[in-house]
Amino acid sequence: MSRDDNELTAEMARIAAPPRSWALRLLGPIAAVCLFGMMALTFINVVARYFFNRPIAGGEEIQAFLLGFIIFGGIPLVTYHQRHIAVRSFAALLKGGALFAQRVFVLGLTGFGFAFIGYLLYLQGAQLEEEGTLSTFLQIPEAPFAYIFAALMVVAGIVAFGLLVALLRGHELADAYERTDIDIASPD
Amino acid sequence: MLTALAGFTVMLAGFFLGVPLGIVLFTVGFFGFALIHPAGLPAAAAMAGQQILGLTLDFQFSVLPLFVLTGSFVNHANLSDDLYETAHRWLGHRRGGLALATIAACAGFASVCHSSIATAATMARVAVPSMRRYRYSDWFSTGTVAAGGALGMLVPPSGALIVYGLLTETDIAKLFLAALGPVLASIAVYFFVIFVVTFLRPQAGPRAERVNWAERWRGLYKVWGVVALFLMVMGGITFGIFTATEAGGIGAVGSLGLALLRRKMSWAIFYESLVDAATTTAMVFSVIFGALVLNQFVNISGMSESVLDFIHSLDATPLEIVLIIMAFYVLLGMFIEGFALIFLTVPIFVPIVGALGYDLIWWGVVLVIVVEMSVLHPPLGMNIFVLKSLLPEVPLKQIYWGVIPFWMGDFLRLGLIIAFPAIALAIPHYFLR
Repeated sequence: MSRDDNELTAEMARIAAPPRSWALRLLGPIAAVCLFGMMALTFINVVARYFFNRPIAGGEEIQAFLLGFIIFGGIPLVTYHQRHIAVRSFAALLKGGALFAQRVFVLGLTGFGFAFIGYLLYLQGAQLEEEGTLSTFLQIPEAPFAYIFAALMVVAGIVAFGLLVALLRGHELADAYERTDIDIASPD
Repeated sequence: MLTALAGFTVMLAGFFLGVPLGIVLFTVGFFGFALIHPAGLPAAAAMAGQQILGLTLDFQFSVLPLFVLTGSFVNHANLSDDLYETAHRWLGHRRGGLALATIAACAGFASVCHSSIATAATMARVAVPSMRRYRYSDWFSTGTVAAGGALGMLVPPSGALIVYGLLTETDIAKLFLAALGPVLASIAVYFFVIFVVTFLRPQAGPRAERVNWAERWRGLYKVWGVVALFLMVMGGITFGIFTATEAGGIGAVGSLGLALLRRKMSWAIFYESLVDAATTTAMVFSVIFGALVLNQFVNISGMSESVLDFIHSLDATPLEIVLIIMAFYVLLGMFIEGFALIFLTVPIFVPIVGALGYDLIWWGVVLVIVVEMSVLHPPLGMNIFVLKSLLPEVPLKQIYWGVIPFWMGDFLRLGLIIAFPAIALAIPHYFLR
């Protein structure tokens, strides 16, 4: 967690550095564009409302969809870099076989968990499609968004399994607690 | 009730095994809900899917990424040097003056940066060398920076308050305003701690040279950017000009402008800031998903009611119960800290505190103060380790000693906010009725 400005920059560069897998490599730019879009949209909306008395039509809905892409696009990256929030004080005391078992358990459970959440989102998408749910203002169907978010959660699950496979194959998996880079085979 | 107890045992086991918090909360919430609900697994599946998708498609929650992005840009604008320099000019000539300046600069930096760790790390780089030049004791200077960094969690617009607001569906704008009074009280308490320490140990914080008034005012001019950004964001919220979410957008554009004006922004830094803010957002939301699912389980498990019945059977006053909860928090904070403490305890305690008749805005502020204490106190305080990693030559024991006076001060400020809720509630009640 050591962070002076240079180290902070190095840490950020590491997070922004593209992973090896092409699928994951797309996620960073997508999340960045969505966040920039969200910032610009919010700012322009305030200006348009106060100075021109005309807020952007459906701005809030676009913002909500962008939020979804930021969150679900980011989760596979967080998983890849092992940056999930976790209580590490006790697990950090483990060594040798116990540490190996702990990592296998954590990565396995993470993989199953994310893939399962992906499945639940898929079910939600199917229900929205069946009911023909449209967004309130722009009248955009909501189901496709649920499907995309579901797919991204499954990707996060695959990433965790990729890390698990790398660990089982005997690859030196960087310590999640140190938050340094991970040297693994491509997760897909 | 048995299911709830079993669930929380599994949850604690998962935590201590180092499983990501979001996964632990989700798993316990999902299966607990399925066990209790008459319709079982299909009901849990529908509930969890709706909770997660509903949260994602609510635009108001974009307040979090926008404020994280503001902090990311601000980190690159190199504002900390100017802030510290200005505070130094105004306060440095007093006994312990550089420590006072450090606390003031930390509060100033946190008002635009929103991260406790970043505040502590940045100020360690800026303030500790200066304090060493004036022969401050290492234990005192590192303790001050760790405490000043922790203060960053409460200074609005704060990430911890946003997360609390998202979890409890309380008004984030009100939470920001409610933190203003307690922040001023906290600064006053930390100043008092510094006065006491330097009164007892004058050699720990000697005086620096006095600076003339013209220099002091010139210093203030250098920090206009921070002042403008803070006033724009908080002023806009206070006077109802824009919502908390919109304030996030204004803050992000403003901090980007500030970094550009100071020639601290490149395309690479710009892109990295965006990706960093997006992944941090994803990291926090993946836990919020779990916490929301757990909330539903807690709601139908009847656990809150059972705990409340138990509390009523104790015949204790609401204040006594709050004090017991606080004691529990301080104890738990020794092992679990930061956001983890918020995520773990909010679903359990907020319904109880609400049922006791307390204002949840006030509770949010109290909670963040307790979380600040958790990053500060031994044996596991995160800020202590940030300081240690930046200043490896200072023995850990010295940082512990330096932190202890501030930690004792924390009890004082916590006591103040509990005894006088108006410190927190007066401003939001006046401006945002």
